[in-house]
Amino acid sequence: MEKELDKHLEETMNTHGVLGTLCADQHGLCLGAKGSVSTDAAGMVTRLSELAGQLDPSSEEDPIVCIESDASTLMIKKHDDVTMAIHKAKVPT
Amino acid sequence: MSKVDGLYGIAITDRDGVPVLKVSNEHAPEMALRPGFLVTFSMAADQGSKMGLGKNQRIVCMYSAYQVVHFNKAPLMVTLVANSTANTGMILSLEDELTDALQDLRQAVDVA
Repeated sequence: MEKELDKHLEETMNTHGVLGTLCADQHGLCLGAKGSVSTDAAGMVTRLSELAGQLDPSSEEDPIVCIESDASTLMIKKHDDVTMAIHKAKVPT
Repeated sequence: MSKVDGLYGIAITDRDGVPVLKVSNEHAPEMALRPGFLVTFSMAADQGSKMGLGKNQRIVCMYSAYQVVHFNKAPLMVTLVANSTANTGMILSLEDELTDALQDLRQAVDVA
């Protein structure tokens, strides 16, 4: 049932610099996770995206949330009922 | 409880549904925190552990207005009652924190 999603997550992982990916549903339950992103993070990822959306309720599109650290960036985006998170290494400048 | 929006109550009980510790706010349905209701999850966890998939660890029940999440921490049972729109993943992520807090309570039930 999850073969298609697994294939897309695997393709995302093959992108240069991607350390981990996670896909969660609207209940904060993990649909799939690969690499550095733990399945336990599904609830928090979903909640962060919801809270960011509340900052501008009039906006038609869900915001992209970027959490940056020294070594990497976590990008979160919600589309319809699915929230996706991609953990990417920072390219050294 | 304030860590998750929409979380209405948490009950820690023994296997018979007898409450050891209970917290709730005014939104929690009173019936959902009664021993008669809570013990059904204990029984469901026992039955779930007989399906050949190992020990049943958690049960999530979704209702139209509420959701009930149950952690099997034998001899204790932890039940969380929340709004149906609450983030289930966040509720499940409370398990580790609650497990740490259960150590002292576990001793009380073991002695009893």
